[in-house]
Amino acid sequence: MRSLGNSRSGLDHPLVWSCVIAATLLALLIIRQIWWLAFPFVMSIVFYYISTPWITFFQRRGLSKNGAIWVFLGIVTFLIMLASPFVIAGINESSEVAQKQVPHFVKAAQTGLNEVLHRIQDSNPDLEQLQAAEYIQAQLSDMLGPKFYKDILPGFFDFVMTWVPSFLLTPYIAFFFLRDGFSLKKLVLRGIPNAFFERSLRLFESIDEQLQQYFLGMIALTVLDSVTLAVGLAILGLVTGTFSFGMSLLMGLVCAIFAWVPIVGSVAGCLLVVFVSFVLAPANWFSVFGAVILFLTVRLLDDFFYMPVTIGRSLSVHPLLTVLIILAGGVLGGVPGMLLAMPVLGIFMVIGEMIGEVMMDPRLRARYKQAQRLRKKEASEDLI
Amino acid sequence: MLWFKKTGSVSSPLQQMRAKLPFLNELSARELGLLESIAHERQYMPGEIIFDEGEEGVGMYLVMEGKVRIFRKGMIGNQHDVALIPPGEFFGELALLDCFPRSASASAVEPTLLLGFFRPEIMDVIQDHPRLGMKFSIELARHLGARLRESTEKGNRAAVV
Repeated sequence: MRSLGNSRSGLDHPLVWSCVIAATLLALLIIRQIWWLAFPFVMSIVFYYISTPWITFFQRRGLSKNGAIWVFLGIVTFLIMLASPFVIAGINESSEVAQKQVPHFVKAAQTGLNEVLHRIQDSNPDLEQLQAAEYIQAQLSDMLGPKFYKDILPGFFDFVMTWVPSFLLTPYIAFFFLRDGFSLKKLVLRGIPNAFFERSLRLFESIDEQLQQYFLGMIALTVLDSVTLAVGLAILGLVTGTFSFGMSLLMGLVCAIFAWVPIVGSVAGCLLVVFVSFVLAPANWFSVFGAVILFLTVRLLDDFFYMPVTIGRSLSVHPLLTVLIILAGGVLGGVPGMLLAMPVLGIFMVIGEMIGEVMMDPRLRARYKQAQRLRKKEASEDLI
Repeated sequence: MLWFKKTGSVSSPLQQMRAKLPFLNELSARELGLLESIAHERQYMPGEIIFDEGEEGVGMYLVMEGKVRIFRKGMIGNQHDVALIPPGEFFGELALLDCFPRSASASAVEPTLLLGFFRPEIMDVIQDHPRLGMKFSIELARHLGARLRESTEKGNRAAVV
């Protein structure tokens, strides 16, 4: 996930930063136990920010808030129902193609890899002695052979089946966020002492606005990345009968989603593009290098053109911290921890910024202490 | 839905204010409910600061109970009173119009209950509900006009004296 803001005066204090990191690590540890709730929760926050402009749009055309939510959800449901037959037909078609093509792709990948490994081995006598190519090939054949169908594939389906019900919670939670989000905000604000109230309210508004811009920007960025990558693959001549433009668009989308996880996601996306180009044209090194250059071009376009236009902010989390948090997320929370590491850090940065900004202001602290003294005095006035 | 709060038929704070604030009588029940939904209830102890002079203002307050003292700091650190706001009156309304720093400080004189209305939420309501927005804007203009007239009269009297 890309970071949210630029100047964070509340986060200038090292103590606040330490607390933010400690809270993130603790949350990632807890997320491992409740990932089924954490994931839809984060997703529904995203859904909330994406749908809020539409709800406002309907409200400004005379509908009540509840009416606007129901109309929006109705339209989304209708569109999903309308798209379902096409999506299901597409999935059926793709599975048929995949059934026919996957063994071919696997075979092509194995042959290509074998060729590359032997070339490297032939040029290096030490490796030839170790018979590294044969060893890697044997391991790969074992992994992609019966073991793949017996262990990895069913495991993957189990994983998907476990996650689907969890994802179904997303619209349910998002609905309540949309309907009662403001009441929740009021409830939270009610707990803030008078001295910090106005400042917190201002921060709430600015953070809310930033988050909305961020999530809408992320969606636009994902679409732009997907289309650019798909068009790039077509220009490289990799879009052929077996690998349609639709599939390249899908791969672009997968890579764009991978890119939500900084550094690690980009590397995974690049490997995916290189792998696909390698499988589609094993003997054509131009395609493989072209794919790498394409991927790097997309990343550069992303950083210097798309991101300033869509999200409009530079990164504010140090790259070293980003990598460390993602790795810590992996260690503490497994795969979900790795995926949620940056969003969780983002949430705690927002909280840390708010607390930091109000608590580090000496005037506000003095006003808070004065109010406490006054309350204590009133409560103990009749006591001896 | 309210979060962890029982719903009941107890009249709302704004409904209770209708007698003191005639503008509220011009609003329908739905409009009153809308205003109510964006109002933040705050309680202050006597002497407690509500906002400081020079702070960036984010909204205005309606006095429900108690009294509020508006004061400015003088050149030598002394304070001089500008106004005493009784129940049913607004203060801090300039913050709804601009982002300038508060021109005076406010503190509670006695145990005080306030309803806070804040710029972004008020602006949303004005945009989403133009009828209510128009009524609210006119009331705000009327209120500011009265304040201006009041300060002009004070200035004239001072000039005569």
